[in-house]
Amino acid sequence: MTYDALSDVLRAIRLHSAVFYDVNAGDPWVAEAPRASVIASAVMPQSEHVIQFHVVTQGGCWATLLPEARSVLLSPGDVVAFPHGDAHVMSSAPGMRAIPNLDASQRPEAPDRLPIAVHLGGSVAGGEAPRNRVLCGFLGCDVRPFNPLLDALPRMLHMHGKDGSGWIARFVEFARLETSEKRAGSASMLAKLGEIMFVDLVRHYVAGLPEGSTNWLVALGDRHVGRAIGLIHESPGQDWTLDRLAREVGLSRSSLAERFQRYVGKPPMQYLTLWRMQIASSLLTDGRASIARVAAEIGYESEAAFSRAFKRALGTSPSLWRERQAVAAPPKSY
Amino acid sequence: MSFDPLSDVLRAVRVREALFIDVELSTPWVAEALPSKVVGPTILPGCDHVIEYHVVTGGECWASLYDEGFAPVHLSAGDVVAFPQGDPHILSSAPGMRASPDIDSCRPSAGPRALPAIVRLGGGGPERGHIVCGFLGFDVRPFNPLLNALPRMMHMRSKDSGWIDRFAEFAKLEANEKRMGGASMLAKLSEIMFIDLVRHYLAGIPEDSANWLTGLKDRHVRQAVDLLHQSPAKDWTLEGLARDTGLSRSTLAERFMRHVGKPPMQYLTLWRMQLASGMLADGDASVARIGTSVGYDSEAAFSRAFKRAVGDSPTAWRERRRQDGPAAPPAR
Repeated sequence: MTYDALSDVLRAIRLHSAVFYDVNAGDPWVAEAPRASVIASAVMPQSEHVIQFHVVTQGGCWATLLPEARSVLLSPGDVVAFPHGDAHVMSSAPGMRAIPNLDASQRPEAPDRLPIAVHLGGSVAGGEAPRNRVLCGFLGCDVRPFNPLLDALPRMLHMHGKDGSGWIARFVEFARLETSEKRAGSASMLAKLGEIMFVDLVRHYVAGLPEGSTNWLVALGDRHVGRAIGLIHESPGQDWTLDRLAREVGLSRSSLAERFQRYVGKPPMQYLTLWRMQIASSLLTDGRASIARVAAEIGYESEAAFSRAFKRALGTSPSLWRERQAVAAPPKSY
Repeated sequence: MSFDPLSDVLRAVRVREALFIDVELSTPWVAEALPSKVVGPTILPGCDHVIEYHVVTGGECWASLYDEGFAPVHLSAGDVVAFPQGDPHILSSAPGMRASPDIDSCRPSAGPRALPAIVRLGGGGPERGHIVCGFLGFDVRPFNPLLNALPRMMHMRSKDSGWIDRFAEFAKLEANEKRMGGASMLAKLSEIMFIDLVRHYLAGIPEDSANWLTGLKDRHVRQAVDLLHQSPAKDWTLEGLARDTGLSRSTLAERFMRHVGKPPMQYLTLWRMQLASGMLADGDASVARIGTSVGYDSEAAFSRAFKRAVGDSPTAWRERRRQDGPAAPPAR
């Protein structure tokens, strides 16, 4: 079994989701989302970075990436996501604009009141149901110090319901069921579905990349580079050298270095250091271990050497960073 | 939408990790599973409690607890059986078979990575079968009303769920194909299956049984539980809670006791300690601050209440979690 680096990264960046809005819209309608960084602290206070996604369960609409106004048409079952948190517009026709409603971007006091029903657009005559239904959600994750997954994703991801492994179609079907029936556990169910949907979206994106693309996600599938990444993720605490890594994956030192650089955009040893710092920052945020222990965990025998490396990568010392994280994140009950 | 205490509990009582094993069977076959507290530390290290469940994706079989006189339950394709309290159990192609549990796979040195994702079992007979075995690892901590409310064995037939058999198909696919992100996918899938299983159990239990989950079906008790979960830090009194739920003090106390098995104020205290223990384990917030966020103005009063419920002071408890806790990246 090949090591599953994507799952490893998803765990380390603490990806989690929530479906926020159940939008029912009659034509014409438009909703504009500001850059996710503007609303991140309100919707997902525990996350450094927020990815917004929309799932069309009924009708159809346009998603437009700002500022260049690149639009895609979404049909029922389609999903669109904005990995880098770009501002965007969802609307019944391309080219529409609106003022982002920041008041609506608040996490409700009880998160289990999610998703919030929203009605938009043209009034509906005679109690007839609005034609379009879109579920909107957020995926929260860590970005600092190193998130190879986000770096590898485009600004807008779009997937047709009929594509992929069938997950998206299932997601839409079950998400619709969960939002209309509102049974016990629905909020949890929708959150899990959102996370599954995102993994499928990423897979679909990778499958569609042209032959010869160089990208961390593509590298995972490369026999040599993928194996090297796997080894680093499996045993970040080992005292890796370029020689050892090359020997393990069956390449010469220079071929591995060249191939790794081409796919991942940085040399193997730099990738290792960044990944170690990513793990260290999670461990520090979680607050379970002493700094010396965190250092040992990721392969530093001396606390001083670890602190220097950490500071080089993140700009602050481990203890200062831990303190800041503790202040930034309120005690959480969820 | 009304408040959803099941989601609230699922969030506070985290499913940390999940694991699947795909088992290909030929008759006759039998497999015995050790108590989950024996296999748990190996299979899902760092989890306080492990629940094992099996989805029959092909063929049929029998499931049984070890108890004298327990009648084995027949499982058909699409059925799910789970053992919430971690009981040892037997699965077999015919009722009444026994085997010795596979101790080797549970040696601490083996570790989760040593577990095969596909196991073949049986005598090579003509009848084939297929089971997906799943393990869910939970943080239990001091008070887990959900786990306390579940029986020793839960069985759900395929016709009772719109989800499970299809999800089991996906789980099988994920387990077999080993695509990127497969491990994350499987973890989320098993959480979804667990939620569905709990819902199914909730729908089937008689109204009058004393159980946190049935309490959720009683309008007034549910409203009281909702209020406590929504604002655990509020200075609740039985009077205030009774007023908000529109019942008299004594009626609320009696109904709550009947369904939940403890008085409302005791439930509140335990739930506060559950939340507090989560914050103690996960963050660096001071004990005083955690006390305040679960409704205690004085650190001393909070520490006393914590010690009464958990047996350790908050500081000692945190210390112990740090020593025992895994130094691995958080599950989420």
